[in-house]
Amino acid sequence: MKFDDKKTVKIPSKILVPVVTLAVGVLFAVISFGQYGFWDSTAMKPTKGFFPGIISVALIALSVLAFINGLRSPNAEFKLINWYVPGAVLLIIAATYVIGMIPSLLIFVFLWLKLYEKQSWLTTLIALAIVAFIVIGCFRIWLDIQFPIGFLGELIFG
Amino acid sequence: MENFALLFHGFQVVFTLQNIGACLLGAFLGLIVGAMPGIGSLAGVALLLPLTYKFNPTTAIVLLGALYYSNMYGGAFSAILLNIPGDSPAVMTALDGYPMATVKKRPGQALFTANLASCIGGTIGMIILAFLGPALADAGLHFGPAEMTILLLVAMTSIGWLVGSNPTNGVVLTLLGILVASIGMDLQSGSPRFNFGNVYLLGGVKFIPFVIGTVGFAQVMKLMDEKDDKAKESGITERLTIRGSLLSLHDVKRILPPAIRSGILGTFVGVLPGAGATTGAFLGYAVQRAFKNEEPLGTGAMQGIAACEAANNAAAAGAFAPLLALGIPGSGTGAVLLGGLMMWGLNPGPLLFQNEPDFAWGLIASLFIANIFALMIALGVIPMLLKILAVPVKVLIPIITVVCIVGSYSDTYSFYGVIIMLISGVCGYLFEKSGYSTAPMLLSFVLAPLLEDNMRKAFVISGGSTSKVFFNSAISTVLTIVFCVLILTPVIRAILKKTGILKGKKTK
Repeated sequence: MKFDDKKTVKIPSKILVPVVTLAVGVLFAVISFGQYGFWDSTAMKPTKGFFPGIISVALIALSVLAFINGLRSPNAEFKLINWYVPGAVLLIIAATYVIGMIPSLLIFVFLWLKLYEKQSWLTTLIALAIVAFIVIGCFRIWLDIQFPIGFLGELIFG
Repeated sequence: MENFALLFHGFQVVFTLQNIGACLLGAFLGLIVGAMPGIGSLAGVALLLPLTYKFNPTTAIVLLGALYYSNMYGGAFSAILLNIPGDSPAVMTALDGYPMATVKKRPGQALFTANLASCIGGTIGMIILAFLGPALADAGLHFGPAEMTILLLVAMTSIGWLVGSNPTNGVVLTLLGILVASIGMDLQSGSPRFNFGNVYLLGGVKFIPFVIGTVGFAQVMKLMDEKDDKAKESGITERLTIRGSLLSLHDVKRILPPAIRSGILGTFVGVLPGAGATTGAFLGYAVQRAFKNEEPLGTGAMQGIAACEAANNAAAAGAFAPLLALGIPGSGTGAVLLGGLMMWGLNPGPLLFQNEPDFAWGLIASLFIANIFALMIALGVIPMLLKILAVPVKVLIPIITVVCIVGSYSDTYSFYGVIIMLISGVCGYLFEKSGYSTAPMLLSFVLAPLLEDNMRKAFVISGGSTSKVFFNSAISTVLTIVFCVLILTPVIRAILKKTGILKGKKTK
């Protein structure tokens, strides 16, 4: 059976999003009112829980309203293909610990364009040159950003 | 006259080799990114923010201003050549731009009409800004903490209501943005807040990774849907040249009146929070319908292109007035720009023009220069435009992903920035797919510290009395009424629609 990464899956995200925001509102409200307090009656001034407390109560109320609205809305469609990019970022982070960030990024661009997108060598090399210019030229040399060199880099360069 | 003298001083600030270079770089990059398919001005400005690290604050702000402003030029290119608007204000440009390019076979002139009208509209907007900005700041000096609190609430709510299809969803994300911004340190007591025992969260959620993720990375995830779409073929058969794009004197005479009219109209639309360039372009085009046109609008009329392009660029300039004078951006892109300005130590607000005239007038002067540079670059890239617009989305995806990673890493020098970018990107994508516009969240994230500071001060002054905050003065009373109207109008409208008193589509 052929794996279809463009197949859409309907997820009720229009009600899941307000559920998550409701949970965030409850969490912030509990910490604000429970731990930080609302009003310092001795000094007659708001405490650090005052502002987030008010906002979290409003968020709870509006999340309930958004949830009710979401019940009437059609579900959003998601494809597996959209999640390849976050997956690639996680792999780049993991690879950075071994071979360093700059090689990881260049290998990512090469693999993505040549193997996944099946682009021509010319297109791949032009894209690699652009990425090398951005990462090495702009960020490493011009902006002087020290990127991690990874475990292998530490072994080789000390 | 004093304003002209101050503006002249602004030009003196900007006229150094480094500032001019930064302005040119910003104008070039902003224009190219704005023209690129699928990126748009919001993601474009967010992705290019890390470039400002290299410069001193004044130069960084000049670069930011040029980036923001020249981005507005780019959206029209794909609208005219491919009938695909690069951003929402360019929707109206496509109505006449594409027919002029394909049916009338004048693609170069259509592009130059858009560029020239943008320049005229932008210049008008900037001249008005030079007067309106300080006047608004003077008015803002009468605002105490209570008035500022309600003004910020009005700004946040209006953008929450106006941006996106569902007002409730907009305000939910506005509130979420405020809570995310409250993570880190409580600035008044200096103690940790909502850091959940995490040492990285003590410094708060960093602005650059957050904004790169929410708009840039979320956009990359969205582009995966479009990557296999067949690139739209341009219907242009003529070779695009600079010489062939120049306008005749008669053409210039035709576009001047609509460009000037829309420039003035667009500037005042841009001042309103949430209205911005898109509303400006729609109104500019609608007003042009009331005037006599040599060709009917919608058939490739130059006046149609000029009216909407002048209005949207004027609105982009007009939006600087509340941004600089009151610290209130009118759009998501404005919010990113404000965040960038604050990152560089500029505190927009009523005292800006008094305390930091070099910054304020330097920024306004740099917009004038960026406008001229953008016009020249836009003319210069005309022969290459079809190639720029033909870059396949599937090639852009890994390149933008890399920019997102290195941009967010370089802000924190650790993977903390990359993780924030990744989480906010995934959340931004999920929100957008679920009908929640992320622009209000960006705006509230930037404005939350200012709102909290003013609100706490207002309650200290009032001794905890809510009525003394909201009805403290005539200004706060009027603003409170506006705030209540903003909140209640969509609710009442929904109830009236549901009960059948008001006819129309039922709200989702």
